[in-house]
Amino acid sequence: MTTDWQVAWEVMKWPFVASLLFPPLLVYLGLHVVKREVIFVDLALAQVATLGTCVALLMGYHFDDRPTFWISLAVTFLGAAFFSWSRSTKKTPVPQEAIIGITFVVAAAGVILLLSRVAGGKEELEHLLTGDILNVTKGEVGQRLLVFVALGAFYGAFHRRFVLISSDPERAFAERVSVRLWDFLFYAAFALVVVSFVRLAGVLLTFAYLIVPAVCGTMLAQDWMKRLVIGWVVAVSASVLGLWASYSMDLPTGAAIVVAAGVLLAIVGVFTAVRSG
Amino acid sequence: HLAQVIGKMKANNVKVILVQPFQNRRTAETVARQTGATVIDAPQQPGAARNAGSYFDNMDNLVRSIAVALGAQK
Repeated sequence: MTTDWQVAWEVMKWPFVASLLFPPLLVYLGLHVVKREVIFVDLALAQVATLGTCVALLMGYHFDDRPTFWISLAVTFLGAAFFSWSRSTKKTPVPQEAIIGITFVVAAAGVILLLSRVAGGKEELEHLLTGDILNVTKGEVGQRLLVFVALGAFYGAFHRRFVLISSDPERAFAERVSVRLWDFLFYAAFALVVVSFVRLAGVLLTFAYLIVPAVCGTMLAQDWMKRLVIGWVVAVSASVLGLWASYSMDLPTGAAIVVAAGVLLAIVGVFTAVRSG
Repeated sequence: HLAQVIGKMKANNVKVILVQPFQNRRTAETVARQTGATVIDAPQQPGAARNAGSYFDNMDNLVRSIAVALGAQK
């Protein structure tokens, strides 16, 4: 006779595996986002990806149809191109963060407008926001892993170039690096990561995995590798805590992981304040 | 809750899960994978499913789907 824990493990094992395998690349991208001081770019791109999905739903496709993925990716690439074009090293009256925030809000409103024309739109809206990490399957983990490994290799191969552009774009321009091209490549690959993951985890959990562990790593270490390791530990810890809370208190899984990440960030914040005080 | 549902379905040999077309089918599919059950759409209103424009067609569709699912489990 199966015990409750055995049943829980059978339900939770693939979400747990996903929370181990995907955070390293997400944390790496989050470190770049924090360095560039464009915190909401991942939230905006995730919302643009959701807008693309809604365009596909309005065209009559279902959420899991292959064309839905490609339409969402195409729309997200447009967003990536827009963000790389809007970045400037010169001081402008309008900071890029304002452009990113506006893009997020307009994309979110666009999602509501489009889903008002789709049967079951309200349920779809909640699904897109909160995701479905609890129902992830072995096949979906495997597919995303292939994408993440390929993109991880791409970012790893050009790590120094991307670090230069993220941390010192003026020097990159001075060294005649094609900053706009590399910015677009960074955001385009970022878009592919976001579109792949937001279909599993939703907008909120994707943003949480990208930013919270990276912020914790940045608060606790100076070196990129140490920040990456700390970020991965925070991401996995938040996942385990969130999955446990979701099971024991019967809570929505994605939201539980996001709150757990927030709690860990608060603990890290208090620790760093005490350490520096 | 899902773990409890899975446990009860296994204990009572429940082999069919009904979902409304607008509900999240993936949760039902997760439960179905654990219990060996079949998931079928069970729309409440006529017109929600193809070839089920009237109330009678909708009921016929539902009964047929359940019968096929239960028959396939034997």
